[in-house]
Amino acid sequence: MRRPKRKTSAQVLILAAIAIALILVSTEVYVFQLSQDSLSENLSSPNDFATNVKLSSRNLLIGLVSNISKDKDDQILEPALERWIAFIIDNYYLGECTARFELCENGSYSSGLRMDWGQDGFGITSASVGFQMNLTGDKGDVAVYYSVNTTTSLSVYSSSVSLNANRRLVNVRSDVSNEGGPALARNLVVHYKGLGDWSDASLSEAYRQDDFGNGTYQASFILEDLVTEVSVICCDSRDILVQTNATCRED
Amino acid sequence: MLRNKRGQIRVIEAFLASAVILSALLVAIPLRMTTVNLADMKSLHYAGLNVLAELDRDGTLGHMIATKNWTVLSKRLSILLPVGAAYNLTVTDEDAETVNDSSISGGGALTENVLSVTYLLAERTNCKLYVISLQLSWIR
Repeated sequence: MRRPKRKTSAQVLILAAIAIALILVSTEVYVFQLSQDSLSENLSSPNDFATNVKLSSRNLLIGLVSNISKDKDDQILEPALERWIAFIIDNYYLGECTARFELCENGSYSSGLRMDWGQDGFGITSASVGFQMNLTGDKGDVAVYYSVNTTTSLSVYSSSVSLNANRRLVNVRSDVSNEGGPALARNLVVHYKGLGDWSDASLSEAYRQDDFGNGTYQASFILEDLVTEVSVICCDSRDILVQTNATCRED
Repeated sequence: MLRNKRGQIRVIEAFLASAVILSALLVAIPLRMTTVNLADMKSLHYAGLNVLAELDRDGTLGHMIATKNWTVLSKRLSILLPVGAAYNLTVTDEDAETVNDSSISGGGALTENVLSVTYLLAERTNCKLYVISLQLSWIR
């Protein structure tokens, strides 16, 4: 018995077309579903979190040093850092976070701080803290160790030169630096000490202050009195205060 | 005559098969068009993160929050975020209370594919801590 091949060929073609169409649609739906799943997952990574925490730790330390330099209350450093560590741990959602800090006790640092507003023409306000953070979770484990150092220093050199029998020109050169590099000052106030008490140099005759734009500032003024010592108070662009006194040399 | 009719049916068959495949493609192509590219979303995520980090680098972001200068913050975000990105920013403090009393948003309405960038901020003036949530999406 012969099979009617030609009569069924049309059905086969249609069925094949439907099968191809189904494969096409199901592939697209599958790809679409996969892409939706990828989008719904969190794009944040432990490394992003670590970068964020490093930058904010630095900002926090700058803020703390600024407040300490103004209020002289060095007791705020440790509690503020403890609060920051707790805040970091509470806000890590990609797994588990452990973090700690260590106040620098090396050399001239005590409890993470160094505030040396000396009489020798060099003043420094600094804080140094080491941080350790371990992030564990599905997106990988990250161990981060970093230290944050915030330092504002001021070097002052002062000299006076006689203009005539009664008048003297006093020059006060100040170099401001942040973390060892030249930095700009927001405000720089010069005082001098003659035979009497301290006086504000800006009230003196012909007072002028030049900003060289590279962290160097020069104040000059004319006095009738003899100047023995100058004092410079500097507030840098980060609002950190530093002060130093220097002996005024005779040229 | 019989052969001619068979030819017509073949042509109709071919048309039907083509129509089925074409209709499947017509369904599938718009599906792909509506799918937001994952790479685009990642680039938007990193753009948001970089913008927040850049504003925070010199303490500007913290200062704007401390002074509640939401208008300037919104303007800065509009300038720095990529063109075609819609955003909505929320600032919460350590007690999870919302700090911004007005909406900080721009670039249009957020679409269905919204991603969120979370940034921990330590503000310099009062040493307060904030969580910044920046919601972003590409506008169509």
